[in-house]
Amino acid sequence: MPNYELIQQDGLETSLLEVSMGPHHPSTHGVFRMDVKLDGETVVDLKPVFGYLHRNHEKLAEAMSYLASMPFTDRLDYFNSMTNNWAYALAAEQLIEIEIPERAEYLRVIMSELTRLVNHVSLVGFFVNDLGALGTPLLYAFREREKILDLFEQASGARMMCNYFRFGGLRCDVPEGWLDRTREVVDRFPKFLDEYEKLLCENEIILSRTQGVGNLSKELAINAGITGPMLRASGVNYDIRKVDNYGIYDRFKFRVPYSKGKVGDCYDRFMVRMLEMRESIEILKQALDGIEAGPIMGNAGKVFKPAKAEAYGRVEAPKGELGFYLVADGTTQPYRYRVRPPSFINLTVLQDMCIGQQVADAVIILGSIDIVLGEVDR
Amino acid sequence: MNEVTAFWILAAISVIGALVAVRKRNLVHGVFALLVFFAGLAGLFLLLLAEFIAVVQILVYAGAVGILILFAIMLTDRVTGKDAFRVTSRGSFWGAIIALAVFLVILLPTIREIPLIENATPKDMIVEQSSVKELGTKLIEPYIVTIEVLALLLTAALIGAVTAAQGGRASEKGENTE
Amino acid sequence: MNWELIGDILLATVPLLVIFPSMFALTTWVERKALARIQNRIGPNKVGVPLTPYGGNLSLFGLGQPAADGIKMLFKENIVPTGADRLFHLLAPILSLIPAMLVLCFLPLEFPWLNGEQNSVKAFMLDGAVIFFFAITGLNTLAVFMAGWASRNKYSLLGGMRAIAQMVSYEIPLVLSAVVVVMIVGSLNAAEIAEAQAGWNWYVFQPWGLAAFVIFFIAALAETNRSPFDLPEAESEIIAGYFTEYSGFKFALFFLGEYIAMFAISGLAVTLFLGAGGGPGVEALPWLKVIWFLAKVCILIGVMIWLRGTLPRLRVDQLMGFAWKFLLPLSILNIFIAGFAWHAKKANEGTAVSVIVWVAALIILYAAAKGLDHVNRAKVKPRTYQYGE
Repeated sequence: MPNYELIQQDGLETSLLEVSMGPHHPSTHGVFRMDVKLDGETVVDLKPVFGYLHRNHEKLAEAMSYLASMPFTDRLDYFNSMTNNWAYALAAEQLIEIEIPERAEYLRVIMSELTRLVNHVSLVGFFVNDLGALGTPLLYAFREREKILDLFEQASGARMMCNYFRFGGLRCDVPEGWLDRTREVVDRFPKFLDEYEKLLCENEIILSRTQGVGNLSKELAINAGITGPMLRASGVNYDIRKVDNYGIYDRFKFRVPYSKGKVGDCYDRFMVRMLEMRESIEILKQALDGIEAGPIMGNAGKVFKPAKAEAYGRVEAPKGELGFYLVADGTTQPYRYRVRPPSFINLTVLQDMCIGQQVADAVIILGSIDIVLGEVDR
Repeated sequence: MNEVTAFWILAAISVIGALVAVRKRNLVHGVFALLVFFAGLAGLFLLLLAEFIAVVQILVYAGAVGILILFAIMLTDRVTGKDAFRVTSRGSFWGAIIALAVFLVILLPTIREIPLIENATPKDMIVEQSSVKELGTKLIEPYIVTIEVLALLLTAALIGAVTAAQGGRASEKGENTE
Repeated sequence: MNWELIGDILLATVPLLVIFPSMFALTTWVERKALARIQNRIGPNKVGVPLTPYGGNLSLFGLGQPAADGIKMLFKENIVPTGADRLFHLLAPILSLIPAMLVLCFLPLEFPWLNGEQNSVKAFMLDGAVIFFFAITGLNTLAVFMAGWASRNKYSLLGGMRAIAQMVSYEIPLVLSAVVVVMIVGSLNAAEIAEAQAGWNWYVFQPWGLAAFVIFFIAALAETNRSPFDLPEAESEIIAGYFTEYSGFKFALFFLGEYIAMFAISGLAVTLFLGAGGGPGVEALPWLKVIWFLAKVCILIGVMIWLRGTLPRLRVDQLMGFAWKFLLPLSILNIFIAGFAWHAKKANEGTAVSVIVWVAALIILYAAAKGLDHVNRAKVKPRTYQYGE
């Protein structure tokens, strides 16, 4: 753990300024609190405080049927309800023998990658907003996000709380013409990305604000259980889509961008996400080419009542490894229901990254982790 | 509304500001009272048509010195003291007497020597050239050596300050690498 | 009582107190509208004249927004935090507005109803106008400190500290770049500086003038806490900096003070470098001078708004480094170059020489800026990434 020692010169004593940043603060991305101790503007100590948004998600799920928890998973990481659904569905599908139809698998991939685009594009916007760009990149991002949310609305009826996945398939098929509209959005997205990259990736202020700030070493990242883009930014080639090949990810050709260095800084975390969006577009194009008509729901029974078993289903959510651990006791309700939230586990290294940096850096380091408090607090 | 009224107003502001600056236990209040005093003084200079002195008074004293003191105060822990605890030292009475005596001894001869013009107003003293221009010419022509020496001294002080600050940072870096 | 004198003073000051606050109101609308367009939004478009006789509301592109904002600000609750210094909390916004308003007097705005014979009006045309301007705008720092300290809020304190450090640092390049013009004209009088630039002889067209103007404008951005130097009120870091704890009318006063300071410093930039009231048609119609002056001020304000919509914020150390390691040496070099150029031009009256001097000065300044940039620039560059299959 990095240490920061106060400069004590002969006879001159300095005292620390304790600032409680949050829970109401413009850039803590929700109700999150950082108790920081400052020496001038340098962060000497930082303690993350959370739990303000605790909603008893896991215990609630143990008191209701398996399927009834599905809408609640939307509310975990409310930016990415589709991948949340998928992780939960994967865990539950391991408890019973179930066939997932081809079309449903394709749609799952499409929804998941669209979610990744939504998440990364708005994360980059929020991140640059934390850098002080007054929302301009954020609103550019939101314009694109809006188009994808429209697609979600057409498919599932809701823009953010989609509740679209079911054990063994999907709730309903996409409406007529939806795939064409999606293709249009996907085809236009690279043009937007070009513009975005041109504006942000070589901006002198962004480069000097982010490079060398919030260093996270490879070892610490692995030891702390960091996953997702943050791990790849620290130079580890690890993507659950490649490792597990869940769903039908083995059918698509795509690459996993990761940093060349052994240490990841805010710029790496920002760039890895920018590059990942390009790969998501590749996957989307292949999936839209490969999808065929067919049923979208498998041979699941009306009542989901698995035998005694344990299951752990995980997906590469936009923020990292999102896993659901289920213990079934033979009833219609899970005996134990546990979420492995990527936001929460990625947040654990916040202190290590922030100490010795400036207050302004602490804000962008938090922004580069990409947390959603709904998932951290559950 | 003439110069005399303006003088009395400005004098009152200056004196009250100075008194408050001395008596206030709250340091920040004291500094701001001092700044009021400086501003009043600048106004008095302006009344004497010494506009350059007035502007320097604001620029250097109210602007720079005031900020410097405020910065120093911000670095200290106890900004506020209680007004109830006045500074009362035992010899304060005799101290005041001595201060007054010194003041009179220094100032009385000066006041006596200058011939006072009856009912003088600053208008009588208006010079053709502005004070700024005159000051500039004086500084460049007769006092050029003095100003160069001063400039050298200030540069040396500046470099010294930078070196001192750099030295502190260098040793700090050294500690970190150890 | 000298009623004539008082009348003259009112004639000279009241227009300033009318024009600039109304320009402020308009600027808030322009800024919101322009920022909105930059960000793919529409901006204020509803508030106009409510319930006209023709039925319904007349929206007028949201031009009623400043009035609505003003009314809202007036009626908001005035909150003073517990333990705050109530007196200083009240004085800070007033003290921030006064210097900004005061320095407007030093701008060479030649209103048609003022003829030069009126001595009282000339009173503001002090011989030391430029230096007075800097002295009085410097007082704004005190107001910021007052607000930061009196609010008894740590964000306010941090914002106040940032503001003082930033304003004190950027005042140096600001003054040094203005010194160039003062040196060439040989006067601190704003009216004389304006006169020296009559007939398209603007100093911004000289290489040293251009360099000084760029330095001046950058330093002015920092001095008025505009993006990308808006650290003292950095929303994402320290909420709103020194006016975190201000609400209602006190906040409005701060806001007004900030914008008036923007107008004042833009006005000084126009005076020093952009030929003050000079422009096409001023010989025939002298009243156009005021229009041109205000138009140039508006253009500079427009650039400030544009920058605000496009640039992210610097960090404290980068900000300080930029002032001390880049702007300061460049502005000192610029003073030398201006001096040499002036002497060279005076010694040889030929056009060929002046062209050579012009080009040489431009090359030297460009090379110096590039060199300083090379030395000081943070060693950052875009990176490449590898891909795993």
